[in-house]
Amino acid sequence: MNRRRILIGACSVGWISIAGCLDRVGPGDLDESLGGKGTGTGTFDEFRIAIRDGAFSTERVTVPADRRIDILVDNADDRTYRLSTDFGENRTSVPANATGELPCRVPEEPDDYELREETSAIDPLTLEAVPEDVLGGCGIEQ
Amino acid sequence: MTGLLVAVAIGAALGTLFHRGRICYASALSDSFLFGSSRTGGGILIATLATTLAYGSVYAIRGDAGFYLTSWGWFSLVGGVVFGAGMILAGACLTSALWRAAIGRGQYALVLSGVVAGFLATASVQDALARYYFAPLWLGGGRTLYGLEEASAPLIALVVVAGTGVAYAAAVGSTKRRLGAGPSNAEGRRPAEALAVGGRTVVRSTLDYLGKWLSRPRLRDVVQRPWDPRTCGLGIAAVATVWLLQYGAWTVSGPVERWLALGVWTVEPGVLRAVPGLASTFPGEVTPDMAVVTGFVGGAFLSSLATGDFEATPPTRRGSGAAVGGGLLMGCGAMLAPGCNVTNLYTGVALLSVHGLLAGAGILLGSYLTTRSLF
Repeated sequence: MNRRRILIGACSVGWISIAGCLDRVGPGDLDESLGGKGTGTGTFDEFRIAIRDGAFSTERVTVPADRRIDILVDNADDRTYRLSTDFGENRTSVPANATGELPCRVPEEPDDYELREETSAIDPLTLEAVPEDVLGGCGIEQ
Repeated sequence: MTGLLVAVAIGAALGTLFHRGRICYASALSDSFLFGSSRTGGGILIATLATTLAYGSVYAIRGDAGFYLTSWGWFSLVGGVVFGAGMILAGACLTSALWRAAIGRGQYALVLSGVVAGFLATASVQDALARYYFAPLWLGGGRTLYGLEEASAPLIALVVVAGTGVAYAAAVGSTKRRLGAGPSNAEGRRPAEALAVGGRTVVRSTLDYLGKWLSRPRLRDVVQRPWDPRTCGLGIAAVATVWLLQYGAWTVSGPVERWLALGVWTVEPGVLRAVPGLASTFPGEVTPDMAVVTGFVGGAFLSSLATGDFEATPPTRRGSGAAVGGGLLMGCGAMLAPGCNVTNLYTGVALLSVHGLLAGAGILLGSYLTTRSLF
């Protein structure tokens, strides 16, 4: 019985510690800048970002690995930007004061990828791919 | 609507089979680790092997449609270990907690409350888990061994089943030697002889089992008495295969999480938005796999009424800490793997999913370590 109590206690303390540390990141922190659908890293596949004054509106966007997504780019500047990703052959041109669309398939491996401006006019945006299929428990998508 | 009714009926059949066979992964594993054998474990093994053969054939016909194949990695093993530890601590797996709560046992309602707490605790830190747990521990995308090009899926299933059968027979032979109920110590010491002894034992018990069927059991006994776990195992395999053909692989923890998300949304949508892991499981409506869980609970309840087994008993104060703590670990483990005993140790193994095999190994490891440390 003592062993059981010790195990319960140890597990409780362990979990609370881990949860406490992880919670510092805060729910929604990963995609708060996305403007994507959904509140977490769950089922969303459309991401809206902006370019203003020669910079992306955010430095990092969390995207689901191994999924097809659409990146919508609102260009508020008075020049055209040519964007591409460092994976696949994904390219688009976003005219001045217009919205461009960049459909792409995120690689299967979770990692940091980049959305770049081909002339290096602006700093790249990090696309952080996470394994979305293991988030939110098990189940089959029909 | 018809689809949901079919799902409820499938769930009711599974609930009845689990209740009548007293199927519980926690007791089966702890008995196996402590005593070297388990009657319930035999039923679970038969269910898994029969389902493996069936799923191998299904894969050959229509590929992996409906298979639950998710990314795999060290997280599969870690989550499995946490789930397995919780199962032994709670004294029930997720499915047995469901059917036992359905037949009135308050203690297992406590286990389920711990599971819900575990779901919520893990779901609340999902974004951090995605970045610091799942992504670094990821090793590969969803795969099934049925997809190997070296052999056809039914042949792969046959090899796996035969290999498991041989290993089981060797384990039975070895156990008989240890308990002194079989051959002399000298005979059982060698693996080949343990295998021969175990093989004879398995064949004998199988013939006894078939003999019971041929002796035509009385209807009253069939209705009122518990069923042989082997019969239930075969029944579970048949029903799970029908469900795979109808909808997809049978999972339990995922649909339970979706019920939780739907319940929270119904009561207070704001809470759902505050818990990202719960929001991402929110189904928007009752899905067929959720209906299976409902049917499972209802089937166990009706089965207990039919057998006079229903009895509302309150939780005991003495065991409440272990029940809630074990449930909490199960809830966390089911999110960290992801998947529960059915999703990984039954469905996942039968699908020969790499994730399921790894998480199943984790459940076995966690159960073993916890059993050895507690008893």
